[in-house]
Amino acid sequence: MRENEFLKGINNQDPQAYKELYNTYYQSLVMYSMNFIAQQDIAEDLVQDLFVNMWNKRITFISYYSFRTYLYNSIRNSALNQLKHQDIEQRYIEHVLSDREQKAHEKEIFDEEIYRRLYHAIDQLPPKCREIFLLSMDGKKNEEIAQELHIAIETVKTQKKRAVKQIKEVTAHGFMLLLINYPHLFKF
Amino acid sequence: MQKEHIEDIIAREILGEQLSSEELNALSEWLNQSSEHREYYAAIKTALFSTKRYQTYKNIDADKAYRQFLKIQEKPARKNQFWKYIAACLIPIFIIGGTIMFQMQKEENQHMAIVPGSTQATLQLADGQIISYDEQKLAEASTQPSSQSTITTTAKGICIEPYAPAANESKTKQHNVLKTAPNGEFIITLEDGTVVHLNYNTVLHFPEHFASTERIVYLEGEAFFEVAEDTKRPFKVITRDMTIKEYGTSFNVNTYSDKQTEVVLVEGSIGVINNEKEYPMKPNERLCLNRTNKQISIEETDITPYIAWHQGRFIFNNESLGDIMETLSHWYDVKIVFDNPELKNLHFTGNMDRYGNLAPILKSISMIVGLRIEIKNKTIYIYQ
Repeated sequence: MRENEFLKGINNQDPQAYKELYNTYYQSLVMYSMNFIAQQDIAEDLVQDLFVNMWNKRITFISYYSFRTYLYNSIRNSALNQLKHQDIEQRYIEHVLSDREQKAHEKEIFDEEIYRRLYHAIDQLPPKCREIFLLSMDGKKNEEIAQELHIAIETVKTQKKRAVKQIKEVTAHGFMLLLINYPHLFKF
Repeated sequence: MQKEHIEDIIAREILGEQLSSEELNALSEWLNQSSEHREYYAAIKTALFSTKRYQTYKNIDADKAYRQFLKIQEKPARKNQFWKYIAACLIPIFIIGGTIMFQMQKEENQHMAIVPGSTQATLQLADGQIISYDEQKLAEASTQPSSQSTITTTAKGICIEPYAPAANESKTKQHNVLKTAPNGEFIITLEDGTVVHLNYNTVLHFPEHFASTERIVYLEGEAFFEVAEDTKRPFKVITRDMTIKEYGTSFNVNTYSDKQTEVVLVEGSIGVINNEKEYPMKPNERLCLNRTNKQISIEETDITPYIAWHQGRFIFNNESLGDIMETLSHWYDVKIVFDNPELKNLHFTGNMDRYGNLAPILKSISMIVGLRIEIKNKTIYIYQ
């Protein structure tokens, strides 16, 4: 429901919907684009060009699924075009375009979508909680985190629990959505 | 085996939670079912989390990109309009340029080249037509009929003819865009009678006609709203990170800063909606949404400094020199150079005329704070 409204906004050139587009997809599409192109500034330009083009040409979508596929495919195509301009060896591009790679491409989109939801969940954590969570993801032990941040071990533990609980709620839901959108990846 | 159950187990395992022995069994059973399950699981476990990747992601600035987008997307696309636009831009340049040259000849005072901001904005109608306004044009008090609604001019802006709630819903989707100059301001009366005073560098999107159920506008920058009462159609202001829902009132919204969005309520009552939560506000309260930690704070405060611009004043209440100079630089269209960035942290309190010359304002600041301030061309240098 929420997604339909968002899509309606995109179709109607609603600035608020475009704002949401930036908030939810900009970073992830830049990250995705950096799978092909290492330089972040070029990767960002590709995404910016895509969004501006969508607006200028008033591109409309019929479903959230086709909308998302459009985003990732466009970025992939323009990244490959960019590589051509940069005179990257033709063979690499052929490799990327090969059949086997087409499957990998679907997997990349899938991964990026998981990242997007996970990162979004992390972004929503309170700052202190996030800091502790990231340190623990870096492999740091509770004692080390407590020492580094000058806080009690108990605080580290509670904050970690809190982070896990909150992220789990968001990502577990994310897993469900992925299941609906990419059924071939989950053959149970 | 329940699919949701397995997903839940994997999610919790990835996030470092201790699994029970039944859960571990369930997981290994699921993994044994097919190689596809195993591949999926391995891919997620190995690649999903690296703090480094998250940091790269965090360094990508989506807000900045969106601001760029707003600039790019407003440029008119068609050629004939482009020339109209150029012509519209050139006329004020000739007028202002001529005025400045005339004044410079008259008084050989370099400071005179620096003038305060003035009423100046462009209005892009939903059909693509662009009208630009400045004081000269408004003084001529011409009426410019447009295809959809009649616009009359006032001394400090424009007035959209009243219009009954839209019968034609498509009109509510077509947006007009009003944008003030980098050193301009503008007052617009919308078709429902709501008066909006836009500060410099501000963009207001409003529909050609309001819908029959609600009145929605979009704001980027700073504006003061005096909303016309209409209990049947709530008035909403949507900014990049919040929605302000009003119940008959006047208030100020400021989204200039990268750090925060600020709402100040003068009278009546409003609710600020963020993250699907509504925060009610009472008069003389200031709400601040911190962009970094997304926290909202509401405090009772002396609101006069926040709405002073609307009443033609600058009121600085123990504000930092950095913030003060930022405000002045926009309004007077000058550059500011701090000899030492630490000087930005000095504080100053004062109450000044917003339409006055810059020189006396700077003089009083320099005397009170004890600094040397020099004006060269259009740049202000601040020394210890």
